[in-house]
Amino acid sequence: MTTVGFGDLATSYRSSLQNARIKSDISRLSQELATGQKTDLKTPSGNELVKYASLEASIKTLQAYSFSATQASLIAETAQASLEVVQDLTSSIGPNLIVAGNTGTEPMLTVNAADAKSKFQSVVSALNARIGDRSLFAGDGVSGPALSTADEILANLSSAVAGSASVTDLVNAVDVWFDTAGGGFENTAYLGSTSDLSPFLLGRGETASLDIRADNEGIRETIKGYAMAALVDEGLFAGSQNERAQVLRLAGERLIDANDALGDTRARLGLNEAQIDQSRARTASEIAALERTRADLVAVDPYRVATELQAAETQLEMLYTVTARLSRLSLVDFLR
Amino acid sequence: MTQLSSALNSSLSGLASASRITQTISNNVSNALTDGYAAREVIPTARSINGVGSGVVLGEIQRRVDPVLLAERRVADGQLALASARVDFFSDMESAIGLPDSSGSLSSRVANFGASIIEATTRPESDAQLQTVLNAAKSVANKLNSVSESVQMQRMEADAEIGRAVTFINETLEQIAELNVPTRGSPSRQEAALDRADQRQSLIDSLSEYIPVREMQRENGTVMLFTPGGAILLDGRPATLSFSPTGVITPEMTVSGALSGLSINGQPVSTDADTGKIAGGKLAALFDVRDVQAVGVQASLDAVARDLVERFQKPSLDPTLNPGDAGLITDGGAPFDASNEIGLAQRVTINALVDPSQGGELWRLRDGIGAAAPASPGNSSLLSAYATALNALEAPASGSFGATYTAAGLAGEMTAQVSTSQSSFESAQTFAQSRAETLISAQRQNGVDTDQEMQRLLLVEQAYAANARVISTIDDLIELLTRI
Repeated sequence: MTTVGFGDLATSYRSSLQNARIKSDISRLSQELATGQKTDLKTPSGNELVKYASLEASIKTLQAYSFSATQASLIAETAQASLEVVQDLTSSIGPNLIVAGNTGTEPMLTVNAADAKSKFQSVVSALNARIGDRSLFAGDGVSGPALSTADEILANLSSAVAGSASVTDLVNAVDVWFDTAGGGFENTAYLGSTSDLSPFLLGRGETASLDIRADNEGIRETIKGYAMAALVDEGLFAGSQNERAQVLRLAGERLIDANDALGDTRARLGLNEAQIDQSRARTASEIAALERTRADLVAVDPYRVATELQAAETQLEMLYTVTARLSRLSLVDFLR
Repeated sequence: MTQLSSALNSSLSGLASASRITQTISNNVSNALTDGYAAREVIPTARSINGVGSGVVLGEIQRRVDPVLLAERRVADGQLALASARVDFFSDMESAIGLPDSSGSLSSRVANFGASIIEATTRPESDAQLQTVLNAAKSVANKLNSVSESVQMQRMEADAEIGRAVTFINETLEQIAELNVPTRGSPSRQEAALDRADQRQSLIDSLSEYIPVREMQRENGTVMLFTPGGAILLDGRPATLSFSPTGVITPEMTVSGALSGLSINGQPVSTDADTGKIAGGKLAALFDVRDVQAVGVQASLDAVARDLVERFQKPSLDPTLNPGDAGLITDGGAPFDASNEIGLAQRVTINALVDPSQGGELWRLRDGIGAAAPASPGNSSLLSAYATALNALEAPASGSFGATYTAAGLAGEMTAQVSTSQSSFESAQTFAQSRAETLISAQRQNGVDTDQEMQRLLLVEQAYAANARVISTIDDLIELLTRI
């Protein structure tokens, strides 16, 4: 006799499938709840993944730009501080030397010349400032100093201008030594590179050039003025008070002009600093925005997940109850 | 008197039938947990001799099988195995490449490389900074190498598994052929034939995971097996599949060249996963993985590698290089040539001239690969140019990428393509799985229902008792007669 029954194995198969399904749901939901992030970033179109990848790449690049901008800012700040030292020294000494030159008394000349010499040493050492291992004013020759020591410069200059008969000759000789291309200053005093430091990358297409070298005009003039005054201290025109006074006065005039040029240089550097700061602020806010977007992409709503988890747990409990009930229903149990 | 003896005969036949049915019921109940067991059914029919009813006779014992359901389930099993093999391949690829949210992934490493170059522009004189750039570059090259190796590994495993599958299929076909004998004859031999039929069914089921099988019953109880694609697997004699495994597989090897295809009875057959003669099972999936999917992933990888190499091989980028020289990223040390793209990902390395561990110098990263001596330490113009090159939007020269990308963007896009393939095959797998589950469930509903068997047992008990009562009554009647 053919009868239509319902196989024993069918019910148990069904309930074990459902059991497995609900348990895997519970496992996924509890992981999402614990980490606060989706377990599966993939959508059928793959868009979420591409978005995430490009966000990651952008964030990394911006962080690198931010690092670069921080370095640039540090260098600019330190350079500005050095130039401040130089300018402070220079602004006071210029008028002093002119007064000394005009007055012309021996003690004043000696004192001011000595003062100029010691300030010269301070200025050269300020211009040889380093940050870490890098020279600040040597262009892209960052591993060596920008200038040789003050004493060396003076020694070289002295030998170059020795034998100048008059003040005019001296002044010409000094100018030639400092200003001619390939002359004494460029050969022996300035030890840095003639190429500027490479621009700092602040962002896509955005750069900052910190290109102040110790051989630019304003600084050269400053050193020239100090050197001239220091020569007097070294014993130039010894005995001729008149000539020494003239030299000091001319040095003072040079230094006053140089001070203006220094001011311009510092102003340019200040503009650079402002540009770098703006760029850093912009980059920081871009990074924050991108990080927020990235977090939104992977975040899950904890309340929704908790609700779903609870529903899945309830479902599992129901499945257990039903399975227990069904297993008790068998004709065999009712036969005798 | 003859009526009485004929009545006795009928009752005896009733007893015999009841015990025979009990035997069937007990066989069924003992196999209630056996998966793949087809419940036995026995159909009693009335017997008549010379127009007079004389008891019951049992027809042939039949196996309760729904052939349509069986065929559908086998197809579903095959589809599930096909989809699963593809999903497994792409899942493995996905974890080899790494999703963008993990730090060792390909797209992460490319992004790190770009970032390290930008950071190095702030301190190009620092060896430590240049070493960081070199390490980041090597990490990208290593990742490309290792993912490419994974792809070829997958192909080798698929190839080996095809070999094992073909052996298994051949053995199983032979076993089925042995069990494929006509079922006819006395009831005792009938039982044996039914058991053989059960065994045969489970062997064919195990086949259908690898090759989809259609079964056709012949009148003498034997079966003929063939694939939906049209290949005959068993028709009296089993077919023989042949395949020769290849040992080591490299990216250049293809099925039309160094790799073996499949032959049935000596005739080569197409192994296309959707339209070939063996389409729809795991065997087709393995061929698909080895010859289509893995080759596709390798091509995408090679396209990414090529894009990176070409960005650094642009003639205007590094003034110390001559046109045609290898750039920062090389094809195994040599400049890249467009005719050699296959397998490039496995061969990319960083130029030895910048790697101190290979006799190169770090300052060449800053001063140019062809530089003879270190130049200005503070000059980061080449490094800046490298950074710009990586972040420029370029259209990849090969691969199925539609737009322009940065280097990191291309890596991300390639990862997304692999992921998308995985997802779409996963949906196919989910569909095949739920279909298979439905069919299995329906098939099991046709299995042994112990409640039914118990009910029939009650009826049989009654029938047996009734027949026995009739016999004893007839016995009394005959005794009455003889006592007269």
